[in-house]
Amino acid sequence: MGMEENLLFYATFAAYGLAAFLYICFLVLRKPALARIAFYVTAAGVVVNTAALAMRSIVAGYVPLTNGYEFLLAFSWGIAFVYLFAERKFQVPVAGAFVIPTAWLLLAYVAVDMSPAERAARPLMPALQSNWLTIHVTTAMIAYGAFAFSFGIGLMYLWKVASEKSGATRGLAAAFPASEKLDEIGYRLIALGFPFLTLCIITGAIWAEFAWGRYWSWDPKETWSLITWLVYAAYLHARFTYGWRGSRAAWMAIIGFLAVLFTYFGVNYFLSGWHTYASE
Amino acid sequence: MIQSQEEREDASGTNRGLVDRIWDIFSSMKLGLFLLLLIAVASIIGTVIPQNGDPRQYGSLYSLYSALGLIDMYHSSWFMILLFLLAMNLFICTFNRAPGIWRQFSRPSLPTGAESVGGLATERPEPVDELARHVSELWQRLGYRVFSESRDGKHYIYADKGRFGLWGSLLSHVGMLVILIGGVVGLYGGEEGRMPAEVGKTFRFADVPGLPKDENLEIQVNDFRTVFREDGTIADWFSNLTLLENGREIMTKEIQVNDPLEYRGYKVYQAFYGSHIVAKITSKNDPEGHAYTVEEGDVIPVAGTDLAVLVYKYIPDFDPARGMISKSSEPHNPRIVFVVYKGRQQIDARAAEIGKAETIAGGLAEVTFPQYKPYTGLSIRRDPGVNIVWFGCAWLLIGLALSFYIFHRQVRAVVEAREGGSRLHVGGTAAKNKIAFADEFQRLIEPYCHTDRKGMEA
Repeated sequence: MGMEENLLFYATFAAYGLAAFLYICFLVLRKPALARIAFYVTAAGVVVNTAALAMRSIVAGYVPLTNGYEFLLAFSWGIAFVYLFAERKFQVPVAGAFVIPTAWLLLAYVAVDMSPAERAARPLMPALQSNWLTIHVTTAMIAYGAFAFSFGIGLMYLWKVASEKSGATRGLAAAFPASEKLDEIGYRLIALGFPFLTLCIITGAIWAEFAWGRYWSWDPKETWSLITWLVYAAYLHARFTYGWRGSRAAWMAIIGFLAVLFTYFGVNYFLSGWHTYASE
Repeated sequence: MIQSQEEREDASGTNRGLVDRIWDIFSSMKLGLFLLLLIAVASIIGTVIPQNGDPRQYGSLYSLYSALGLIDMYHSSWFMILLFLLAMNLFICTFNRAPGIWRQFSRPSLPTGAESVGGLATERPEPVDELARHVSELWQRLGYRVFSESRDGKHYIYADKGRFGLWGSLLSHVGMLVILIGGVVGLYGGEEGRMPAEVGKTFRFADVPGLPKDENLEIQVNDFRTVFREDGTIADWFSNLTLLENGREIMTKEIQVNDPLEYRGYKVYQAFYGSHIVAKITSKNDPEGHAYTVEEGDVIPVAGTDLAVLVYKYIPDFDPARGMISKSSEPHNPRIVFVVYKGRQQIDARAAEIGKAETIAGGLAEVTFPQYKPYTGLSIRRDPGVNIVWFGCAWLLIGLALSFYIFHRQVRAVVEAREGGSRLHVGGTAAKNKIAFADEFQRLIEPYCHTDRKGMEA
């Protein structure tokens, strides 16, 4: 990995770290200026993050979404990018304290746990040389970004409700938007992400059909993307039919995002581990 | 949904038999939700327990897993039954909901009275007709579709926007159903076979295990190449194939990964590759020697000794300076790298020329590779369900887009006469996007809420 690439990565990492810190300060101190600065720092982070992705695609000569490092860089981009728009739309700067740390933690994982060799651009294996890859992963970034935000909102909701129940009128949660508003925002984000997740799965299937002649083969990654999809589908149905709002909806948003993370990390680290263990 | 159920009961009389009760169970969302979660949980199990593995890797649990259908779970009968139940549920839900949606879409019901409107009521100075006309015009201007009726001196108004969103969930459910049907068609109506084929060879589809025995297609492999990059990694595989039907040439195409050959519903994929390497080994105890046909990575024991030869790798353009990385993709200096073991210890490693004998272990034995024959690995499939699946995916996506990006909202109003003017009852509902609708509703009723403001817009 070249020096410029490394520089861009650490600049992105620093920007999200700083933004996360500012948002958390805003959560505690409630000085609007902090949230404003944090917003611009996040925006700067997205710019550097975009540059890091662009640099990688120039260096590697393909859309930079093929190994763990590249995907995490794209994942954090999706979270921060969706965040910028949704914060403006829903006017909930305090959510930054919950969402931006997620983007930062993903990059922290790269910084701590990935060796330079793992981060390096590697030539694509033949099956990955497909235009479907681009659209497949772009849709994943948007869907995962929206789900990460709904996860943050879910946490805020539970915190808010717990503090209301305990009768606290002061404290951090008092500054959160009303619980109904949080609930609605959480839903809107999932409603944004769900069609993109569907598109992501479908484009993956089309690509698999071209590459291997099998649009669906039940491999663990595919299956976990389906499980994630089923969790969000259940969320949407329960919401409309049984009026599952509030805490139950917040929990489902949290479970849904955990399924997203598991699809990414768990399948690679836990399930493959089990397979190696089982075959020895 | 409630309305359509009532209708059905009316049509069939009061006789609610078993069929009706089953119908009711299947039309319930509770079952749908339960099935979604059950399939999710089952799928989790399927990713934790290795699928289609070697019996040994399950150990003592093998017979239990096998009896429960957990070894090939996604093809087991109970998983199929779950998917079938989900399909039934989707079908009946869709069937039940369609008439109600159509009614709401084409001719929704006007409010029946002031009480049914709910929402807020406000006094206005204008006469009933004028106010009703003004409300209708304003809402129309804001993009609403307006129905109105005047009865007993009162005006009843219904208006809505984004009505195509009503079809969203129905279309996405139809899409899911079509995908499931496509999957079943592929499962039962499709064929699949794999064939390693050396360059120059012709094989019949009928001879490929898994393909129909009466198929009269043939494939002739004209060429097969592996293309390497500078760093020795594989860039791609190319197979030049000629397809024949009843011995007649149909087409010639160079296929690669992501670009299969297609004919009559069959697709021929570049799926794997390999080589048949002939190795002849003679030793002091076996001067006649033996010839073996092996693949890269195979180990051949040398008869009568504790030696073994690992046939490691074929390198098309060998250059000692580059070691294991081929200089080019062309066979300018083809070598076969082999490793000699004595017991478990590696004692030698060499790059042999094709056909040239190599003496190993201080003359104890001799290895020759007279032939190297690469083969292309073709996977041949026919899946009549795949286009059905794409069709279902398209419906699913259209449905989701309608469902989540176009939201249906409706407002109802009743205008009635009051002394010195009229009274407006107005209420609005939206199933989704309530926060945005609350703002929009303010715009819809804005001119009527502030009686202290100077008149209304013209």
